[in-house]
Amino acid sequence: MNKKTIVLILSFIVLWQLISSSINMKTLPSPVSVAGRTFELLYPNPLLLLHIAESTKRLIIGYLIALVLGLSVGIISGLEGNLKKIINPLMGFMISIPTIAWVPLLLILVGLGDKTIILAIFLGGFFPIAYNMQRGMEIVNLDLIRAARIMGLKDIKCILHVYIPASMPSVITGARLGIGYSWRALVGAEMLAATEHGIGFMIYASRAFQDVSAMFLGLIAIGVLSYLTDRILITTVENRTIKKWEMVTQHG
Amino acid sequence: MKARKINKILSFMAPILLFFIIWQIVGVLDLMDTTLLSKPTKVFERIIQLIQTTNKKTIIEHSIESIMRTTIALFLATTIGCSLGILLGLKKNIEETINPLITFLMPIPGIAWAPLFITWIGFGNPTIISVGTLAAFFPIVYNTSLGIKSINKEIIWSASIMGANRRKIIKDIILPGSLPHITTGFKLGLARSWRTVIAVEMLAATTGGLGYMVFDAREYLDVTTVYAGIILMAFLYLLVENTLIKELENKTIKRWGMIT
Repeated sequence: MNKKTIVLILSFIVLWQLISSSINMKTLPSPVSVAGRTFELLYPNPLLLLHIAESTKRLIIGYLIALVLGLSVGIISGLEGNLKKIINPLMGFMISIPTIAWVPLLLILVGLGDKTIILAIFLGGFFPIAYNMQRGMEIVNLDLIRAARIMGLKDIKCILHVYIPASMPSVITGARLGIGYSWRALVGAEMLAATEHGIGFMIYASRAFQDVSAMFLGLIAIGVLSYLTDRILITTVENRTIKKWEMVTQHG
Repeated sequence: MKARKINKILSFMAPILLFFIIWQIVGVLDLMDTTLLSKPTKVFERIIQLIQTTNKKTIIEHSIESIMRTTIALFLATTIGCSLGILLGLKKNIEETINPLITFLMPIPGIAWAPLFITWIGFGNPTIISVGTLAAFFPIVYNTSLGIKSINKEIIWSASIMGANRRKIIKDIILPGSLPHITTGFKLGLARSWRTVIAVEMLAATTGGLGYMVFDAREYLDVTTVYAGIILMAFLYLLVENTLIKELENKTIKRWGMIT
């Protein structure tokens, strides 16, 4: 955050205030009314924090399951050529299904509530993570593996110390794509399947009261949170691994 | 060439068929609750039924509705997104002003905008198409401006020294040079608008669309129709990706040798 960005954000807020005060309040709330609504939702009872906490909890559980299973499936199918021939097309097929399309199915199979939302987050994150892990395994330099084998590294150690570090750029791409997909699944699923809390639920429930300020607040909260998750989870790992090991290449 | 193509399609389809066969076996042997699991043959029958149905919208009409919405949204997003992206790529001071806003708005899922648009412009097509456009817009702007910035400045300098005017530079250097990035943006935009249109159809559609069909089937606990919708969505997307997009890439950036 440099000085320039702060000035830009401030001037943007002022502009927004000017525009919203010149047209109808109902359709475009002013920054002041969004701030007022934020305060109402924080005090006396911190409803907003509850929504955020609930969404974060679901995201972390769903995403962690996706990460563990996705990386495992990616590693296994990357190691076994025959398995890859079967898993790869299935994954290509599954990845083409919009994650949200699973929600009606999950609603029938498991019903309203946390389980459906977490499963949707998992389904969103799993495929990009597994797919990229597998791609990463393909590009590992064979010489590295041969060298490790000759020096007597066993299977598990070989995976942990050679395959995973060598395919780290793909792992991070997958993790980053995965969290984006998980976020999308979270918000969509919360609108369709949440029963009381969650940011998606908050935005959707505000529609019944024409509470546009709360919707804006929800959108801003999602923006800030997804920026933070990317910063905290992914960029930290990226800096500690591939940046430190100088494996970063130009990527779009 | 032809034989290799068929071979490729076969090796892609075989595991998916295998998956359907296993699913069928599980369904026939009654290993799990078949009212929830359904069976591929039942799903297939349902698709035929939904094609021939006369008292409701057919599955083809639903698909066409979703495809039309996605097409319009993608067209709008590409037109607005590419123009703004070119502007941002060329004018550095405008880019610095707008970029923070774009980076902030880009990760917000399209569907999060849906309730806002429903309040503003009501249920139905206007909301679905606007939200679809918004979802596709950000990756397109971002990638277009990235593509323009990635062009080697020396090529532009040498062209202008040799007397090319601004219009010619944009048409003959900047646009072709940034096409690989623009194609990436377009592909991302397609994926995101398709997904978002399906999602918003669940919330805001009143007449039809695949998302509407699937969500409506849920009300009657009609698992078979939900499976039919999901499978159709995947096939439609794969079809578009492997025919239209591949063709577009072959005709442009592959022919120019720009794919790495």
